[in-house]
Amino acid sequence: MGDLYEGIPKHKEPWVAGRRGSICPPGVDGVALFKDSVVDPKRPGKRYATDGENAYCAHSSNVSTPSGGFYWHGFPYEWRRIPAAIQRQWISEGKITRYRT
Amino acid sequence: MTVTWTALAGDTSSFAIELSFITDPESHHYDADERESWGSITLWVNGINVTEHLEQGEPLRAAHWYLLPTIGWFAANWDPLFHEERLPLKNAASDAATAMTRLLVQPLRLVRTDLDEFERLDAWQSWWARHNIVDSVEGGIFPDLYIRRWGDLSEISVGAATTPGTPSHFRYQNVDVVGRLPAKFVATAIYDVIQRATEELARRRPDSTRISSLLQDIHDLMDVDGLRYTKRLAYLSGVNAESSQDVENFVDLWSRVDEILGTELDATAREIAIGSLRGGLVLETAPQVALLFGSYNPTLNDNDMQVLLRNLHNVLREPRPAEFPTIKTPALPRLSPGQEGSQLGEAAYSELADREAGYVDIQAILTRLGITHSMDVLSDTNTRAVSLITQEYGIHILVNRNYVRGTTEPVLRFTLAHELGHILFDRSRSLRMAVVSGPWAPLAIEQRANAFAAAFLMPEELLERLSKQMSIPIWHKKAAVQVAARLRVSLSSLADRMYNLMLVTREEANNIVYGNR
Repeated sequence: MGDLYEGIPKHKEPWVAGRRGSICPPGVDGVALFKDSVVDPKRPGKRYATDGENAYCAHSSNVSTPSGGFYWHGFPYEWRRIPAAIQRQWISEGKITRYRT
Repeated sequence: MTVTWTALAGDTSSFAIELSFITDPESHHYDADERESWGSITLWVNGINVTEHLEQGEPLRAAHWYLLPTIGWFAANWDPLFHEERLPLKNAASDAATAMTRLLVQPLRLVRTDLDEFERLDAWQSWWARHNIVDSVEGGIFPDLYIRRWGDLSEISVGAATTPGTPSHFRYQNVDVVGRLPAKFVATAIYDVIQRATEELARRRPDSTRISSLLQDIHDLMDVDGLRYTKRLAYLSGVNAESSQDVENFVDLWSRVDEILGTELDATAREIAIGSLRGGLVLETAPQVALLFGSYNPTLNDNDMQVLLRNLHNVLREPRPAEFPTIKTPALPRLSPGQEGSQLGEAAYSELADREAGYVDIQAILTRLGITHSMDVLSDTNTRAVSLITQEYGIHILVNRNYVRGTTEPVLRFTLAHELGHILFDRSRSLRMAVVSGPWAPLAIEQRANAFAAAFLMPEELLERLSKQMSIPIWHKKAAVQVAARLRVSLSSLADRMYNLMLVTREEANNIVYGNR
C-alpha cells in the first residue's frame, strides 16, 4: 500500500511544556503495531492496534510517501474510543478476552 | 513559542473561549493545514478556567494541540452539541460528564435495553463523539469536557477521565465543573471564535480546499434557510438525529402532532406548542411538544402521544392563572438537590399551607393557585405525572393512572406535591416547561421535587406537633402508622422523611415500613 509508519516528536520524550501530547511507553514497537492495525470503519484516516494490554491509534499525516502512500504516526489511545466493531473483531481473534472501556 | 494570532469570545466570568495560533518549530511529516493551526484553546465555565493545568510543576492556562480538527469538530457536531440533551442508554446522572463515566463504571452489559453489549458500547461511543471535545484531538491531551443541551440552556460539564500516555506530571486543575448557561450565548461565543480562526487559516493557506470547505460549513451554521430546523427539532425531541431512519420517523410523528393539535389554537398557542420554521445558530426555546417528547420515555407510543397532546391542547386554551407567590428561601450555598428540595418544601409550606390544619390540603392549594389536574393512562409505568407549564396560558398536571406505585390517596397527594415543586421552582430551566416526572427527566430536578413533596406534606412543624400527641415514640411502627394516616401520606414516605430529618436510623425506618413493632 506504500504507507509508512514514522513516529513524531509530539509523542516522545523529552517533554517540552505546551508542545507534547500523549507519550508512547518506552520500547513500544510502532511499526509492528501499525502492520497489525485495523482501519476505523467510519474514519479511514485512523487505524487501531493493541498489544493485548494497551490500545493504540495511528493517524494519517496526509503527507505522501515517495511510493504513493501516506506517512502515519501513532500514540496511546483510550480503550473506550476503540470502536465496538473492532473490539468485537479482536475478541474473535483472541487479542483481548472481553470488551474494554 | 510565539503567539501569532488570538481571539477571545464570551465572558470569562461565565463562559468564554479563546483560540490562539502559535509557531511550532518542530519538523516532522504532518498535514500542512493542521500544522498551520498549532496553538492553544482556553475555556472558562462558571468563571473557572477548565483548561488550566500543570506540566512538570509549571502552570499553563491553555491546552495545546492542532486546532483545525477541533474547529471542524465544533462545526460537524453543532446541531447535537446545542440541541441534544438525552443521554445514551440511561439517564444515569444529572450532568453528562458524571453520567457518561457512570455508564462505563457500571458495566454496559447490565444496562437494560434490547441492544447487545457491543451495540450499547457503540451507542455510548457515538454519543460521546458528538459531545466530548476530546473526540476532536488525536494524540493531544484535552480536558474531559462535554457540551449538551439542558432545557433552554447549554450544559458544559468537565469530568476527570484522563488520556492514556499522559505523564504523571501533567494534571488538569479544575475537574468536576458543571455550568449551565443560555444556549445562544454559548453558541454565539464558539461560533465567533471558530469563524475568526478559520478565516485566519484561510488567509494563511488560500489554496486549501479543506479550510475553504470548513469556512463554508461554519457559515452554514447560521441556517439562514432553516434547512437544519427538522434535525434540530428531532434532537430537542430526544431523537437520535444521526439516524436518517429515526429522523424520517420523527418527521412522520411531527406531522401527526399538527393534526392532533387541530386548528382551534390561536397563533401564539401554536407557536408555544410546535414552534415555527426559523434559522439562526441555535433553537433558543424548545417548542413544548419537543420538550414533552424529549423528557418522556423513548418508547413513546401513539396512545401516549394522543394523551399528551390532548392535555397540551387543553392547557393552551385555558387562561393564565394568578401570579404565583414568591417563596422566600434561605440562601444556603452548595446544597444537594435533596437538601435544597427539603428547604424549598418547608418554605412553601409556611407560605401556602393552612398551618392550623392537621394536614396539607394539596388539592385546595392547587385550586387556589389556578393549577388544574387530571388523570389519564400513559404506557410508561415509571412516569408519575406530567406538568405542562406556560407563561401565557394554563398550568396543568396530568397524573398517570398507570404509575407503578398506583394512585391511592397518599400516592396521588405526593405526586401533586412533587409536581407543584416543579411548577414553583423549575421554571428557570426553560421558558416553556413540560416536565415528565419519570426516569428520563433530569435526575437532580427529580430528586429535588421528591424532597420538596416530602417536606411540603410532612413539614417539621407538623411532625413535631403530631409527635407530641403520640403516647409512644414516633419511631415505633404503631405511632408512625397513626402519623402517616393523619398526614395522609404513605408509611414509606413518612419513614423516608423521618430518616432524612435524622429522627430515625435506616434500621428504624425499615422497621416502620417492613417490621411489626
